[in-house]
Formats: sequence, C-alpha cells, structure tokens
Amino acid sequence: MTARVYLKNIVKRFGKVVAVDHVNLEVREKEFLVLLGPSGCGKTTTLRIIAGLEFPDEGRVYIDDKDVTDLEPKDRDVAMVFQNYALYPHLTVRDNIAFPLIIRRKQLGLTREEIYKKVLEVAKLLRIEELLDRKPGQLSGGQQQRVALARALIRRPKVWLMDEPLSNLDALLRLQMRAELKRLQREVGITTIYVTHDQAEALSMADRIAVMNKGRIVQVGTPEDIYLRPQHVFVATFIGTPPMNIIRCITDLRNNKLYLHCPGIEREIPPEVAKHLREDMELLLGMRPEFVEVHKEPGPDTIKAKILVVEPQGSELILNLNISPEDREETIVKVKTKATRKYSPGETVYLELDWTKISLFDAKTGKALA
Amino acid sequence: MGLLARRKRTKIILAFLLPELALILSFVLIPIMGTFVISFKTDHGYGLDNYYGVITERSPDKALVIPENIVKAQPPPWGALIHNIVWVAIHVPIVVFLGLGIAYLLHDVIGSSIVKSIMFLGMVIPMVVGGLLIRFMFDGDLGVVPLLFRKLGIEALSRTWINYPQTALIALILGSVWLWTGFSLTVYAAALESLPKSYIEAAKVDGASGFQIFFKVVFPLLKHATIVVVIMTMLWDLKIFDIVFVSTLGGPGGATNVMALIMYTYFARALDYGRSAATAVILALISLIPGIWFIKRVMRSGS
Amino acid sequence: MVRRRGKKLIKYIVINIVVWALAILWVLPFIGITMVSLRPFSEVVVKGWWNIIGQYTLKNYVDAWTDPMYSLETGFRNSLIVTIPSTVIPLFIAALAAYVFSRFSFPLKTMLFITLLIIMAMPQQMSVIPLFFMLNKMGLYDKLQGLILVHSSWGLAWITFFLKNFFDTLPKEIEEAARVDGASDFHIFFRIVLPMSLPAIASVAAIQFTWVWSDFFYALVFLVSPQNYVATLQVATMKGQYHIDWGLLSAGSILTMSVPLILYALLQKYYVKGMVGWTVKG
Ligand SMILES: Nc1ncnc2c1ncn2[C@@H]1O[C@H](COP(=O)(O)OP(=O)(O)OP(=O)(O)O)[C@@H](O)[C@H]1O
Ligand SMILES: [Mg+2]
Repeated sequence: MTARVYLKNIVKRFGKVVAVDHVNLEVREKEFLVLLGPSGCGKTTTLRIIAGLEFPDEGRVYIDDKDVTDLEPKDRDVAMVFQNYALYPHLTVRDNIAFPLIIRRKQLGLTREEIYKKVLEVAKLLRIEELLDRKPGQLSGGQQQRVALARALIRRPKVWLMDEPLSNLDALLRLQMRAELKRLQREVGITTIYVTHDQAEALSMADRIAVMNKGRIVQVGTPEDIYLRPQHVFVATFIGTPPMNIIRCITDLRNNKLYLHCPGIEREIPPEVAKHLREDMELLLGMRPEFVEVHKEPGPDTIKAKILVVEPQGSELILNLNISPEDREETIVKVKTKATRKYSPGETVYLELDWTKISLFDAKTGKALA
Repeated sequence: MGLLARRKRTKIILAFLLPELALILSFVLIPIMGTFVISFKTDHGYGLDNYYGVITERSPDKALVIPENIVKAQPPPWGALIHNIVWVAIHVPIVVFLGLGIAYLLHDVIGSSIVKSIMFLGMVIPMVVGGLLIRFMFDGDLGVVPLLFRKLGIEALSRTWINYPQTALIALILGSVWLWTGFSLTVYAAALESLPKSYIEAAKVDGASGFQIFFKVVFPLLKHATIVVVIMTMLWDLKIFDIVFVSTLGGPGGATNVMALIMYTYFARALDYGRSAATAVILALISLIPGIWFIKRVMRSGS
Repeated sequence: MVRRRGKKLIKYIVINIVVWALAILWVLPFIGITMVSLRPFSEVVVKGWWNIIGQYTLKNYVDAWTDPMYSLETGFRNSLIVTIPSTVIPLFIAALAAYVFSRFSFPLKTMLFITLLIIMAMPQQMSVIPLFFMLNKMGLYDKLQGLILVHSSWGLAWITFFLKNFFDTLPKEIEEAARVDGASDFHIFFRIVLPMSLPAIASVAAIQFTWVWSDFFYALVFLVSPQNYVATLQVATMKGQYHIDWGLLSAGSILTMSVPLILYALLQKYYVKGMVGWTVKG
C-alpha cells in the first residue's frame, strides 16, 4: 500500500523563474516528510510535480521505484490537500469528502452507504460532522480547510500530499490537529509529504524535514539535525525563534595556529576544523540564542556585552546585546534567558557560549564547515 | 510532458473542439468567404463592378451615398451609408450620457431596481416589436410624442413622424435610444457598483463639487465601461435592420434606408446577388472598425 | 446646517422626479399598446388610449392567435421548434470548446480565438447569400431545421467567448483536485465544471433563447411559406403596408414579446449578468 517517493534531479521553470532547481529527494516508506521554506521557494510546485499536476522540465519522479513522470494524477494513487482548499462548490461537504471514493466506487466495490459511513468517520476525526450538509460557500476558512483535509484522508492512497493544510486554523485547533494528523499518519502508515512554512509545525511533526530555498533543497534531515546541525547558513537563520545569531569573523594565523577573530571574540579553531581552512578567510559564526549563558561578572572565557533592548516573552527574556568591544560599532546578538533576574538596557553583562553547539559557515558559499 | 499524456491531451482537445470547428467552418466561415467571392463576381469573371455599381447607385431606395436630385440642406434621403453614420453620431453620445447619468443618479432614487428593470425591457423584447412600438410612439393618432407637440402647439411635429422624410430618420434614432439605453444603463450601473467608494469619498474630502466628482473622477474611472458601451452601440447601429424594416421599410422615399436594408433589397427584391454581397462586404468592413477595437481590448486584457 | 440639509433634500427630490419621469416615459409605449390591444379601436382613437374608462375586450388577442392569415399559434409553435434546439445545441458544443480554450494551449489557439471575435463583430448580412444557396442545396431552405442550423452555428462564437471568460474565473485547483481524486477529463468536465458553471449557463441560455426568439432577419431570408413563419415574421406581416390595425398589431406584439419578457421576469439576474458580463468582462 504505502510507498517510497523519489525525485531525481527535478527542474521546473515558469518562463524565466526556476521554481524548482535540480531537486533530489528521497522520501522513505511510511515517512512523514515536511517540506519547509519561505514563501515562493517552490514547495507547492514540488508537491504538484509529485501529484502529476505539473510536468517537470527535467528529471524523473518515482513512486515505489516505478517511474511515474508521465502518468496522469489519477494513475499515481496519491491524495492531495490544496493550499486554497479547492472544494467543489456545487457539492455538499458530505459529497465533497465522498468524491474520491465515489469516483472509484466500482473499483473499490463500495456501496454509497459504506462510503457515507466512512465520510462520517473522517468528519468526526476532523470535528466537522455537523457541517456535512452544508455547501463549501457557507463555511469559514478553517472549516473549509478541514473539509479539504477530510477529502484526502478518506482514501488510503500510496502517498498523502498536503499543502499547508492547517494554515488557516486558529492556534488551539491547529495544535490539536497537528497531533491528530500525526497520530493518524502513524496509525495508517501512509507516506506523507507535508508542506509548511511554519517551522514550529515542521519541527513538531516531521520525521525528516527538507528545507527549501529559491527552488533548491538546502538540507534534509531530522528536526534535531536541522536545528542543531544546520548545513547552510540559510537553514540556521530560517529556523528558531529568534533564529541563530550569525557573526562575521575572519581567520587569523598565529604561532602556526588558526584563530577565529570576531568582534569581541577571539578563539583558537580546533585542529580537525582548521585543516579545511586557510588564513584570512571570512567565516560566519552561528550560535543559537538559547545556548548562551548570561553572567553578571566576567569569567575565564566570557564575552563582554552591553544590553540594548530587553524583550519579555512570558517566562523567558530575549536580550538584544552589542558584543562589539568598540562602542561605535554594533554587532548585535540575541540571547534567550530565563526571566529569573532583572536586566536593564545599558547594563553590561558577560556571555558564555556553549562551544560544542556552535556552527561555522563559509561566508562565501554559506555552507557549513565540517 | 510525457508523450502519453500529450497524446491524450491532444485527443481531448480535438474531441472537445471538433463539433464547434465543423459547424463554424461550414455555416459561418465558408458563407463569409462566399459572400466575398460573390461580391467580386461579374458577368465577365471577377472585378469591382458590383462595388462600383453599389456606390454610384443614385436611386433613393438603393443609394448608399447622395441619391439623385440632392440639393443643399435638404432633408433625407442622404443615402443609406450616411444614415448609418448619422445614426451612430446621434445615438452613441445620447446613449452614453443618458445611461451613465441615470446610473449615477440611481444611487439616490427610490425603487432604483424597478427603474433599471423598466429601462432594460428594450433589450429583452424582439427588435421587430421594438420597431412597431416606435411606430406607435410616433403615430399621429395614438403616439405620445406627436400628442405632446400638439399640446405645445407645434403642428409640424404633431403628425405621424415616420411618414415624413423630415422626421422619419430622427424618429427611428430616438426610438433606438429608447430601446438601447437599458444596455448602457446596465453596464454603467454594474461598473459603478464595482467602483470602490473610497475614490468618490477622497474627492469629496478634497473639496470637489458634485459635477467635478462626476466629470473628473467617476467618468474617467468608468473608461472601460464607456468603451464597451460605445463599441457595442456602434456595432448595433451599423447592423440595424429590424426596426427600419418593420416601421418604415426604408421610406418615405428612402429617407430611412440603412446599409442592412439595402443589402436585403438587392438580395430579395432585385435578386442582384453580386451587389447584395458587395453591400454586405462594405457593411462588414465598416463594422470591423469597432470590431477590431473590441478584439484589441479583449486580447490585451486576456494576456 | 439646516440650510444645507434643506438643499440636499431638494436635490434628492429633484433627482427622484427626473429619473422617475424618464422611467414612466420609458414604459409608456408598453402601457399604450396594452390599452390599445384591450380596447375597441374606435374608442381608443376618439378618446385616446390613456382614457381608462370604457369597454375592454380580448377580441384582439383571440384574433391574433387564431386568424388563418397570420395565426400566431402557428408562429409560436414554429418559434419554439426553432428556439429550443438553437439554444441547447450551441450551448453544449460551445461549452466543450470554451473549456478547451480556457484550460489548454494548442497550436493556432490565438488565431482561432481571434476568428471567434471577428465572427462576433460580423453582421448577419455577411452570411445569408451563400447560406441561402447552401440550404437550398441541402433541401433545408424554407425549413425550420435550416434555421436551427444557422442559428446554432452563429450562436457558437459568442457563447464560446462568454463561457471561456467564465471558465477563466473558476479556480483551476478544483479541477486539479478532481484529477488527483481520480476523475477522468470527461468526468471533470461534466460533473465538476458544468455544475459549477450553472449560473453562466443560465445566462447564456436566457440570452441565446431571447436572441433566437427575437431574430427576424434570418427568418425573413430563409422562410417563405406562411405555415413556417416564426412569431416575429407573423407580427411583421400583421402590419399592412398602408393600413395598420393597431388593435390586432398591439395584441400580436404583446404576445410575441411575452415569451422573452416572462423569461426575463424569471431569470432577471442571469440576463443582466449575461448581457453585461460578456461585454464588460472582455
Ligand atoms: N503557474 C505558474 N506560472 C508562473 N510562475 C509560477 C507558477 N506557479 C508558481 N510560479 C512561481 O514559482 C515560484 C514557486 O512557487 P510555489 O507556488 O511553488 O511557491 P511556494 O513555496 O508554494 O510558496 P507559498 O509558501 O507562498 O505557497 C514562485 O516564484 C512563483 O511565482
Ligand atoms: Mg505554496
């Protein structure tokens, strides 16, 4: 039933725009893969190529090792939730949800009663059973979205494709639906490709995340990988609230040792990293706001910083700090800390970095240094 | 796209398109071509004889321009082509301003939807009936218009307008205003409805008067609607036939002849297919002036 | 403040009077012929039709309906025989074509589309002479079938244009959803696209019906035997060249226009959308 999806070197252009740029992606059997990226990066287009709604200019699409590049959507056995719902306006919610089964009624050997029973089940799951007799025009955005989801969930295809299926729900319902959806996917084990630009959603639901930018896939990995070991500065800055701090640094050769030289920071680069580097190279130092400790007093390996702004965030605080030793220049980092004590702008504090959780990127290519 | 999918698409396109193409080719395009061919046919092969004949024809019941015995400042007949042009010249501006004016005022009118429905009636009824109603409106015994002038003591306008060359053409043109204003009103009313209120409000805040708002803000914003009304009205005026046929048959003395009627006269009375076709071609070419304007607009907004 | 309000009120009253005066002027001919059709002509001529006191009779209607010379009964039957198929056939055929124009690209598409637009601007006069010979050859001259064929073919261009514009406004994701759900192209067209297009189809049907019912020129050219006359031809012949029997003519006019008028009363919204839509949308 369930399947592996493999995209091989896919390119899709719309006129001059390269919507999908040499994408290679393998989605494993039963996997919940999230396509994450900013608006316009090609997520929907990628999904449509898998569905067969768009034909790639280059590359092949495989479902279960079968080349489906030239197959029509209906011969691919996929179900899709559309970003703008695409509900049939002339059919009731019940018939909208039933549609994919009614189309295949003969193949599946189902009676109308059986189909409507299934409709009721999915409707209950998505809490829309009292809407079944309405037309889509009489529903709110969130309700329409759940109907669209139900229409995909009613079938057990090889692959589920979901294009931002929860984007229009209110916060609480969205949280509940994430859990429901994830549980259902686990239970039935259908390979799922899920598009979102909400990183929290991606991190909480995905088995693996594929981060896209400008038509390319920048990194594929588990949420932990993506969060802790970004392979590209784009991933580092796209994920996390606030995102990873990026500080411009250069390498410096002293006593045959390579040093990292950043505003307010001076540190030897470990030899296993240093062997890939030269002198006078521009690097980007990345540190997550939550992996920095704030001290009142200077310590052996601390960085002096001046508080510019304090943003309270519930039980936590986000401090905007200037770590540049010169007062004229500004190198701003954000730090997340418990609101256990009071900080005020103008105050000087001392930062201690967790050097095991630091990332280094080549400033030219943006790629992470091993 | 894969070969298979492409082949399937081709099949669908052909299946869906074929019936239409077949009918249009056989009963629309081939006849249009045929009319062209016939219009060039002469006794001795092909030539421009028919066109020459049609244009230089001077008898008042068939003349396109300047019938015989014309003296300066004489009432119609002036020739069918001129009548069509006069029709457009009078009808189009009246229809534009009347339709726009009423549409603009309707905002403040009680029962505005009833007014709109009444005015639209002219678009719904058969033009033949419209022609009879125009005949009725201007009838010396029964019609409202002559009666009105009788009450005003203007004897010359209190008789059956359609029977006199001085008044027949203008009666028909006014009648066509009556029939066609509903179209313009409806187009403008729809356009006004879709016009964001903020424009007018902004103009009010800027201190514009009611007239200024109308001419400086509303009218320019309705340019698209105006163009549509002008194009459609022109096309309608040029093709005008039913009204004339049923109310005056081009008379009296050719004073209300129009192109389409001349074409029919050559075809059905004179059985002169060549000249009939030549008249049709001239009419079609003139119709292409608003026609091409229309096509350009559609193609531009389509891309 | 008070003065301004007073001025506003006067303006409001004047506007209402002017517009309603125009509206009354506009219905006057309709009222006039209704009165004339219901009253003995002698009374109408002497006292004027606006005089509502006097005799009323349906004689004119009975005459117009049954008179052996120009029986509107026959005219109505013929009109319906022509109008119904001339509405359904082109609607169906053009809907198929419009869908292709809206959703697919193919060679010569732009050229074909421009051809449709040119046809829309062509006067009927441009086709009748060759059609006259063609129908003669096909044995369809002076036959209602011939008229149906001509009306159907000439309706295609505008209906295609109208429906294409409408299909363009339908989000194509809905059809894509159906494709992913497993529907075939035919299924998508007949079960998804057409039902979604019912408002547009109603507009097209109402207008095409009205136009065909109201057509005079094609009927005049392609029908000769009085027993084949459609209603518009019948009323036109009721008006004699020199003498006009206004009572009969009014009754005939009212009957003839009653069909599109009833349709308009029922489908007003679609009428207006249709007439305005296919031009304004453009
Ligand atoms: N049919 C099309 N014609 C032309 N350009 C297109 C088309 N579809 C998408 N594009 C372009 O391709 C790029 C990728 O679009 P896509 O819809 O895949 O982005 P997305 O990641 O889904 O964005 P969003 O998060 O806003 O939905 C965009 O630049 C878009 O403008
Ligand atoms: Mg998208």
